[in-house]
Amino acid sequence: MQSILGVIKDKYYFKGKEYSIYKLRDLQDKLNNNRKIIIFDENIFIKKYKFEGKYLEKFVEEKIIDEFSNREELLFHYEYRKKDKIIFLYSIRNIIYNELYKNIKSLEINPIQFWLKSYISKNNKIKNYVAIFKFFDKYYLIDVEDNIIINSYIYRNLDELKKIISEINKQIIIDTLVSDLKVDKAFIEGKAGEKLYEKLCKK
Amino acid sequence: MKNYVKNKNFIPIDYFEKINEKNNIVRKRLLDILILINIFIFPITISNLKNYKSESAVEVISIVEEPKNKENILTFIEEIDKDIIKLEIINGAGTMKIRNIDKIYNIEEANKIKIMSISKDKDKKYIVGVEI
Repeated sequence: MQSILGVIKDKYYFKGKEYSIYKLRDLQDKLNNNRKIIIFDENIFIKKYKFEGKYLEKFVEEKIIDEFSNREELLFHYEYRKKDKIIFLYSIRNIIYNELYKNIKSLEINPIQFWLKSYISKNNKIKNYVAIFKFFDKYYLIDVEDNIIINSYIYRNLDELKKIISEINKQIIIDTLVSDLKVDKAFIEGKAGEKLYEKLCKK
Repeated sequence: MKNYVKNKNFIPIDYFEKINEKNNIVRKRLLDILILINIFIFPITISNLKNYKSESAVEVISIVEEPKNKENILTFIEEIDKDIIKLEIINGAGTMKIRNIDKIYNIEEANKIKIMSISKDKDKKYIVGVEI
């Protein structure tokens, strides 16, 4: 059984309770050794590279060393799209207090954008879509192609989001928690928000 | 033991390095245990191998299979008496070692078992090839 916790800036959420960094000891006592941490409200920085060599891991490592001087403050992930030999390198600010993953058995870290993508791919067959999601008063938009996130945005208010939606020519998935957004286009209703609420906010 | 890949799945580098170090220690320990087990088992394996080589080959004289037909079995069993020294039957055919020639006449008369061949062995006993 995994302990699932959410982190927004310097606040941690576990089973419906909020913990500040000063209350981390209380939080640690409640968590087991297998942890899944979901990062909210952090932009994902995406870089694309053409890769035709043999050693993917080595290539990514070299790119990170060359192009990210602040790499120690970041968390990385990459995906390789075979059809056009493109690597998508993702980076996000590491806001997780390291005591939370010290001496634990297993660790899974998911920015909310990636959690959303894997939830959708588990529950839908579509691989090309734009998903809109709302959690902790922030709107998230992910643009997915061949099951790979090619763009990701965070919006503080609805007006910015509305402008973008009019330009989308893809299948749209709007989460049920985004109840304040009225869209003229056809869309699929997503239930990721309810599921996450259950996992993160229920006691 | 979960395996992590560097720079993948947003795993912090310090956690990755620590887990990697731990996994390497576990792997090294497992390897040591395997080597130790091998050291103990190796002499046994070698001696077994020697015994295996020195064993004399077993000569297979005949393979006795169970006759498929129940009636066939009974026909042969009925013939067993003091005159029958040995009976070897495979799939309804085989040989009988018979002490007395009268027994051969009886088998022929009864007409349940066909006599295919008759010969005498060095002990002057009759070897009769039979078939159902």
